[in-house]
Amino acid sequence: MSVIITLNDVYRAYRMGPERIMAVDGVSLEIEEGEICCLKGPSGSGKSTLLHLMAGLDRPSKGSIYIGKTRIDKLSENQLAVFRQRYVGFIFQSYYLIPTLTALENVALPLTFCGISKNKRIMKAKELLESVGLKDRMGHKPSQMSGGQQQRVSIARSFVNSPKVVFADEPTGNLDTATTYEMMDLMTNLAKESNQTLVIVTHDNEISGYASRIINIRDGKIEKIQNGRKMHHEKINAR
Amino acid sequence: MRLVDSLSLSIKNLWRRKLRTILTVLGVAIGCCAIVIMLSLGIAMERNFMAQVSQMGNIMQIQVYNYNQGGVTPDGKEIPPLDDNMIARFEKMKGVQGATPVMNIYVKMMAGKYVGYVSILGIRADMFSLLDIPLEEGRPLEDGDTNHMVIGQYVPQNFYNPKVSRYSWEPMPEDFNFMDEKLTISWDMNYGESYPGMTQPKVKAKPVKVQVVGKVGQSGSEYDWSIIMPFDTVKKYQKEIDKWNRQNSGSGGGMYPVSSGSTDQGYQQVIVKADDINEVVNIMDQISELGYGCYSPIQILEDMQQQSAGLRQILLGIGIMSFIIAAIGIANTMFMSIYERTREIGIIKVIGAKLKDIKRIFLMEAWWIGLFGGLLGIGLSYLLSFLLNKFNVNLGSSTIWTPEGEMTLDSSYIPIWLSAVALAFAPVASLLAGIFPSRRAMKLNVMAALRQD
Repeated sequence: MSVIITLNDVYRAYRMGPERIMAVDGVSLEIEEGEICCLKGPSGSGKSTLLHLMAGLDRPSKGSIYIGKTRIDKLSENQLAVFRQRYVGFIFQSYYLIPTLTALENVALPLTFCGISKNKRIMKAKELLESVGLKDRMGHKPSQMSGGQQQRVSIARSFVNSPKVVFADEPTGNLDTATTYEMMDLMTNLAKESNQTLVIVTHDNEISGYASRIINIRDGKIEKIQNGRKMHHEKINAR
Repeated sequence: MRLVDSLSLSIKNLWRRKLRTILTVLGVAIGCCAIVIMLSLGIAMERNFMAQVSQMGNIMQIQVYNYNQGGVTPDGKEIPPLDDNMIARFEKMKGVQGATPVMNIYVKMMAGKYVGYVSILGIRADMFSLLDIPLEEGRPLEDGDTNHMVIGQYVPQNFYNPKVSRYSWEPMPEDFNFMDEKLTISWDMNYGESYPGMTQPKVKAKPVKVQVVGKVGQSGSEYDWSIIMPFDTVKKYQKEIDKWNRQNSGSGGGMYPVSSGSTDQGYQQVIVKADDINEVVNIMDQISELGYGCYSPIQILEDMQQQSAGLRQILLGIGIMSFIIAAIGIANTMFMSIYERTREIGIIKVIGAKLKDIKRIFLMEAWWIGLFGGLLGIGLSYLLSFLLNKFNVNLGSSTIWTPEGEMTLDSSYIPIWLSAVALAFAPVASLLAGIFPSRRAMKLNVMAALRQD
């Protein structure tokens, strides 16, 4: 297994008025390709900041972050944008769909920015919406769908550009338990198909059951790393 | 991101906020319309001046008179005679297309059973076409013409039938065709008439045969009332007239024509034709410096233009001001929508939109507003212009008298180039107004944008 994400002694400091807060305080970590990695911790522990740093949405105050062989904390905004287009997908707690676009258009949107022709991106988006079970909801706007359906759209969107890594920030935080399992099955199955890496921020114990590794964060530091019940893309049967 | 995609995405975004978009488009349309209408008023004014001045004669022509022959110019130089050498010198000036001496004689003419007093203008035959004399029928004067003439359209009104009683008047019928009739002219002003008590000159003037080859159309100038003949022919006639006058001097008989034209020292009048309207003033300055009197309708045009320049600048200023307000409206709308869509901008940044893409989406939105505003504005302008003209709102419009009767000039005129410029200008100005907002959208921090609700 090759390493896909590397963090070398990463710090991220925020200034809150006169105080300086270390959201991420000297984290070193390697995540392997195909891993389902769970960042767990209480709120304010810095787990989300860590995810944003890995995804290139935020820059570390100190330290270096690699995805594959690319040092992403040194990339320019434009290089990061291209990098995200090619290698990264995102799932958020509040779905972050564009309210005025249909499910199909939302899923196709990342491909629009890659400059892919309309026919191709519609084809790819349809394919993904089918695989998340929304074949008959393609023309619906986000407001016409339930939370679970919206999150499915968001999952389809995150996988549409065939990324190497998909980052999920509390993906099931707004969903009930049954839907949470559905979502997790979906994400892990999709990731498994092309050996994609999943990094999930959560404080849900149900989710940790899907992880190959659980990294516990507290006060910006890694508290402990547990091996999960599942190995890399092992057949999932959590329920 | 493909251009088509950013175009369609931006128009979708605009359509989401219909009311605000429509209001902004209206703002641009009114701004655009203000500029176009203000300019159209100025342009109409200019055109009207031109039309009025053209009534006074051709503005490309300069009449040169030798008022001060033999005198000196204000700086003490002797004024040279206005002769062939001087004409050659005029022709060498920059912007001069040609020059001809002008000689004017008055004779009696007989056409069929009708007679009339007519004024004959002698100009060089090769200059005829340069003087912009519109021909209604026949051909212009050409090199080699001698007793050929081109008659003005109102000349027939001078003719009457001398055989009917002296106390009534039988004019020439309107369909009288000079080209087919036998025509003669004579220096004797009693030619063709006889009435009791008429005295006969000592030496009879021999009538000269002439031939009409063309008829002048509507020119609005002296050509309407004159007969134009080759200069050399008229010069020859003048000599005959002088000779005949001498022969009859002291006899008391006959009526003698008056004439103007050549003196021993060159000519009294020369027409200089410029090849460009912008050269006319320049040529006039050069000729005046030699000591000759100059006249061209362009002087009146210049006076009119100078007097109205201030007004036109104010009009343009009002137009530009309204457009600036419209542009600020665009920028305002853009800023509003960026605040509203901050989170959305964050999302599309996360899923891979490049800075350039974001900037382009917002610039396109501004561009669409400008394009629709411009189109609507031009439509409005034509409507407004039509109404202004229809109800003859008297701002720079005026009424002039032409031979056909009163003619009302437009108060607003939108040339094609003006609508084209406005249509190009509105989107460009909108793009400029969109630059600042779109840069702001581009620079939004992703994390901060996502956190915003």
